[in-house]
Amino acid sequence: MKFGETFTEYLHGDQEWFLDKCSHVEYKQLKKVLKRCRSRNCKDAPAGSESNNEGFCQCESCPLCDQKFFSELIKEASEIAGCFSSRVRHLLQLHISNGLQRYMLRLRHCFTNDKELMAQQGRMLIEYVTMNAIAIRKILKKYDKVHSSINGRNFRTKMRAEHLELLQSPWLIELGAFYINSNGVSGELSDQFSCDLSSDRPVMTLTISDSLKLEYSLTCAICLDTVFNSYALSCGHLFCKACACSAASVMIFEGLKAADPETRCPVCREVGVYANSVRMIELDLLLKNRCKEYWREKLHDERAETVKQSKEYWDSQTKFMLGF
Amino acid sequence: MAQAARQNLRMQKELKLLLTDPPPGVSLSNIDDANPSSSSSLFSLSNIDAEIKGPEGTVYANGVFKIKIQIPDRYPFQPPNVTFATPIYHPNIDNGGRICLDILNLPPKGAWQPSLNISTVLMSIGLLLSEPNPDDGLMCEASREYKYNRQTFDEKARSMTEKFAMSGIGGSSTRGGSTPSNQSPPMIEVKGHNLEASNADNVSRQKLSKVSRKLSLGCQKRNDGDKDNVGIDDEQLPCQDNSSKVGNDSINVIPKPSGNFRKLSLKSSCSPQTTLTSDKENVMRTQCFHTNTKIGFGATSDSSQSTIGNHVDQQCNQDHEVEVNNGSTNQSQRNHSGIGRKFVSLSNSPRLSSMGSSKLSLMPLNDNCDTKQHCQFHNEDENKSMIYMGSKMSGIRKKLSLEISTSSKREAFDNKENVPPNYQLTTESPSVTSSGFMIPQAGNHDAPPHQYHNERVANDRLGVDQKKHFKIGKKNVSMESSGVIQRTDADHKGDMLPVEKLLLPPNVQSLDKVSGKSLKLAHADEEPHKYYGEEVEKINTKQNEEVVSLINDTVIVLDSEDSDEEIKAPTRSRLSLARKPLAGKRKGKA
Repeated sequence: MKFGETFTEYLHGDQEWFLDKCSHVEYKQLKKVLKRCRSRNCKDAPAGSESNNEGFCQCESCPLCDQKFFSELIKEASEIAGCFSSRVRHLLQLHISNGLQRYMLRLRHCFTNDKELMAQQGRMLIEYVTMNAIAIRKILKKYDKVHSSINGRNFRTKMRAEHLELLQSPWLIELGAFYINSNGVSGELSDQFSCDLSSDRPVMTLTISDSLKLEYSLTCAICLDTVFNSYALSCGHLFCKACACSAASVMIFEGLKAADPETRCPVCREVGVYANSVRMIELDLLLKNRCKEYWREKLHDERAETVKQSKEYWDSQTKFMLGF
Repeated sequence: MAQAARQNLRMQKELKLLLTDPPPGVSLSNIDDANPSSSSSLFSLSNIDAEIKGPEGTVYANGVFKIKIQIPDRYPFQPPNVTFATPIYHPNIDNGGRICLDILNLPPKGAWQPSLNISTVLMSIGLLLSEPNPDDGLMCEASREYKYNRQTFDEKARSMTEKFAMSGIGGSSTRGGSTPSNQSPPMIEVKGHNLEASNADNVSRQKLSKVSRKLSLGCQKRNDGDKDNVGIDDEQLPCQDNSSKVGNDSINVIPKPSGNFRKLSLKSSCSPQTTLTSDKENVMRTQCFHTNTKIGFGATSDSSQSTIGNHVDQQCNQDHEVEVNNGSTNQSQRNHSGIGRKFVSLSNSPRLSSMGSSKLSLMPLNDNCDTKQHCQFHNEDENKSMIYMGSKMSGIRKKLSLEISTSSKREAFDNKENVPPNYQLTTESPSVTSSGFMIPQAGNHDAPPHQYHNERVANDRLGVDQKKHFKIGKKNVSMESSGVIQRTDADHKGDMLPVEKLLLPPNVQSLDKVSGKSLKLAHADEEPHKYYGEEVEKINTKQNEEVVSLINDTVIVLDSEDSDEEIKAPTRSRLSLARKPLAGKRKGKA
């Protein structure tokens, strides 16, 4: 079955109510744009040289297509990413929050119950993001094929640089952790997400299809250990909170948001990634469930470090105030 | 603590990673035994020695470079301190081994990231070796050469690699590594030589082989020349012959080796001496045998020995000894007017003094021929030498006399020098021995011989001989002093054997003695006297022989000069000859 058909089927399937509120890739329209480009090329060269017969645009970039195609695609991608992250956040908030906050949230949702619905929602979100990611990938591939250029690939790297690549989003990892958590409780094993925390290189694996597997390393690049109390910088790299704080030379209790905006990501050297860092609560929960010992040990260490740092900080502050 | 613990944890992980999956061409030298997985000590974790192979197809190919990695306290957030321990010629690596690499500095200037690790650092160093960056050079010269004169750069880099990073990994590279920037390559080489010389007598002898060979040749020539005079025993006389005939050759030879050879010879001689001294007791007995055997050799195989440097030396020594034994002092000393004589005489002198009575025992070993020869030598040589000596020596003697406590006696004898040759000959040997002993033995040996000489000379042989000896003694002394100084220097360098160190105090004593302190001499003498007791004779002879053999290199040179002078131009001042080899001090004295 062609992907276009699959995608249409997905869009108009039983989850239509869910997708109505979300933007998605206008796969068909984008395809039409490319088709027009091809047909126009054919008209331009009716004699039909070999290359034109194949329907390929010879020019590296065709202004008409580029204008429509890429602007449209990037708009959609950013919309999808935003929608996805907000949805995931909303979902996780429901799941993670506790006590009164949770009660209030439930109250707002009219006590629609929870676990199954939430798990289902999570599954739907995963499907949503994977379908859209594949759609973007496919349409870009088609673009490259039609124009015999590498603009499509370049566009993908550009998207990744702007953190619009859906499959690189830290929220996907969060969602995966949530998925595993909820499934672990319900006992129903997920085939899409799996994670291996016991080996030297802890990874979370997302299986989209037989040929497409994504691996997310859960190793902190600074302490080379499994991330603990992990934070994802907006570039998508995961670190322990303590490690990230010391890399940004801020106190642990100050939090990552206090970091100098000029501070760079320890891995990709990108500037200003600390401000929008995301705390990976679900992942931490997963760790807590999976490796209790390690988690407790780490928690102890981090707390000791935090206390020590704050002690030093307040010592210096008081000294400063007293005029020493 | 948490920080340190975390760092420790990370280091362990990194080392594990390094060991299991090292970057191409990199190996860890000191971690292998340390079991990085188990909690190895912090020390080994904060100091890592790695070895990186020069990338193939570059000027550093086949070289193995040692890299020292120091992990700072705030490690993942501070770059490791990486330096080359092996000298390398590279635009981005300076003489101290510091590396100009952006990832080794903190962000404002550099590009270090906490996510980088030692493995990546080593990998980028490997890349730096294959792709130097002359635009950001640490070594101006090297980067300029790399840019504009690639050929010379390649040559230099290749030679440096060969010198420090190949095969010699164990020796030179490590040495250089300890202080790569400070030590210049030549220094290292010198050290190597010294070590070799000090370690293996054989090696030094081999190096000296040229000199010894020349000497041997000289010996042969001498034999020929002496044949007329001596007739029967050419073998014993070889040394003398050589010196006289070879004269010019030997002189020429001397200046060449003077630099390195001298040092080597001195060092070598020193080392053997030390060994000898240390082993004196043990060696003594064995040596006695040796001497006896040697004597026999001398009689039988002198001519054949001439070819081999060591043999020649031994032979010469043997000859000298034999002569001494036979003639009791006259023959050998006369002929050997040079330093060789002095040494021989020195060696002989103790024998003579102590031997006095025991000469007979040695005598039997020596053939009748020897005695005959000696007699002949004594007569002829004595006369000649006496004359020369008398004229030449007078000045020197005075100086010597000043230096030596017994100088007064000697002076008196000096006057007597003109008197019968026999006297002089006899006296010469002891005096020579005394002075000579000081020089070669430097250590404990020096003291004893002096005493012996002094006493013996004074008592038995009268002052006459001493005069001659003074001449020789002066030369020897000067030689000794210079030699001692060199030795001491060598000792300070640490190249010398431990035995030498033991000797050092004696050397100092000897120096003091030279300076004219008779008291010290006497003290030193006492010890040796005790030592020698009955065996003193044998021991002395043995020691002397050994010393002579060891010193032979230097001695030989001296001998040749002396002999030449005597024979060819007796009127020439030996002093001049002596001056050449000797330091400026000698000149001043002369």
